[in-house]
Amino acid sequence: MGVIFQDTSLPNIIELKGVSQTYDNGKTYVIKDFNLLIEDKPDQGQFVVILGPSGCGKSTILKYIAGLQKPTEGEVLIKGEPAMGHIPMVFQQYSNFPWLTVLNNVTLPLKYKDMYDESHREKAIEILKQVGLEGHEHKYAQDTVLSGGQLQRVAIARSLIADPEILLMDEPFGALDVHTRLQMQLLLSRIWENLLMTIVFVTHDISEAVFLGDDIYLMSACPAKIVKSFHVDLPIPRNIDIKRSRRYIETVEEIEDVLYDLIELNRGA
Amino acid sequence: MLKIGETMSKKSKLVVEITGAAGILLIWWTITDLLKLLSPSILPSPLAVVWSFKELYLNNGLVGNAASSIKLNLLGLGEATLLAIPLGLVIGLVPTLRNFSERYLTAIRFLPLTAVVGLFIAWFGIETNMKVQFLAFSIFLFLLPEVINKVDNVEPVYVQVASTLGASGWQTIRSVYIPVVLARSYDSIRVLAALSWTYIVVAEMVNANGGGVGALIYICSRRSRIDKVFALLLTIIVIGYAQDKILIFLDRFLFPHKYVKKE
Repeated sequence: MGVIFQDTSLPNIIELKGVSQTYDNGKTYVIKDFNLLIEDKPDQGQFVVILGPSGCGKSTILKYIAGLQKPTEGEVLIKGEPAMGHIPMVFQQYSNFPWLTVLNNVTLPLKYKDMYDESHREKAIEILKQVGLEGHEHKYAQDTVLSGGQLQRVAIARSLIADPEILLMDEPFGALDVHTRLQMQLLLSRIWENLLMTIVFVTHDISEAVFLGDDIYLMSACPAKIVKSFHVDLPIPRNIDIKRSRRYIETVEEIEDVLYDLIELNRGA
Repeated sequence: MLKIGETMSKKSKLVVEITGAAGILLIWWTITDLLKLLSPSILPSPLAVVWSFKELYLNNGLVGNAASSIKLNLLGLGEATLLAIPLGLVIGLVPTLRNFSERYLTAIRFLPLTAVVGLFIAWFGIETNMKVQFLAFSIFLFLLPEVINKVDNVEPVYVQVASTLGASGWQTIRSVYIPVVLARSYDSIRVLAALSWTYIVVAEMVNANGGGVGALIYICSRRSRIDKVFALLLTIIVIGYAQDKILIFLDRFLFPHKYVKKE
């Protein structure tokens, strides 16, 4: 896995060290001694996927990175500093502010940073064009007027406007139908090609993980841990032909084999 | 038209509304005027009620009294809103205040408001100011828990989004809590505007010489002018209905996102 790209002068972009999460005053561990290291690749960006079953704690890991939650034990470091939040995240549920227009949702991060001026309006419109929402700028960002896919496009545009180094995505296409989901995967792959950022993408869908990811971390549940990591050696941008390629199918099968072994192991225990 | 759960077209709904109202009036008229089954001191005829408006207008200053009640309504509602919304936001957002006040706010709802009028007379006298304060207090008591409740019900994902997009605590309050709580509290204010007419009448009945529709109702009941009482009740219903329409209109203007239609 990408060790050759490591630039020792740079701190690792995301690092979780000995992270544990307990409930019942320390009696039950949901996450126990969890470690994850994502190195910075400033000149090329990276797409990291955390793949795991529902309820394995993968969303919690993302919340640590986003600074929305603190683990009971352990350290969460962003570029060597404790996680302080302010890292954009796309949620599975629709999270746009329905009382604002699409455009005002997208410019929100700039307003929070007090750096909004009229020139940013152009930038917002440009980003909305990139995610295919041209002409929808002045509609309210609610499900009465926009489809589920369009709402997630707004959320993606909103996350990108302030040029973040890290983008977190928590099963962003989980609520979408198969057709829209495929469309969104292609869109994300296309957008990401032009961005030099680290995306951490959480999903339970193996084919989605292989289609989008550079590196995949496979998680198991109770307590949450990383079972294995995979490097996906497929060309970028990913398109629909890749799903037919031998390498893609092999990677999916490789992950399925590990999962199958895990299930067998649990059955034996 | 008799199938359960069936929706009606706008046109047939209007027909039903008009024929229904006409039917009720006809039954009312038959019982009172035609068959004279009930004495006018129990149930006056619809025509007597309509005619009593003339007398109310000429002799009882109906317009001035209605205006005085509307003014009372606006002042009380305005004062209660101005107090309850900021206070509700602060209580809802500060955990210490929230926990401190929760039990007391639930308990105070059992206070029979009509029983505190006496206190308000002792504190504020018997004139308009007492009525405004009593009305404001009554509405405030209902509105404050509503506002706190709206703060509680702000979807956590909005707060998380604000935080991940770089909002400070104050920016989160300004960009998430305030718009959501205002838009949703407005619905409660609309409900309370209707309820407030009960307390307006209570406050006005205390001082029969102080004016207002409530005072007129009190005087007319004492003199057994049931026709006028009916006419005055009708007046309140019409004012209340019109007020609600105005409030909806304002709602559309202030919070247009609540009225976005499915495309």
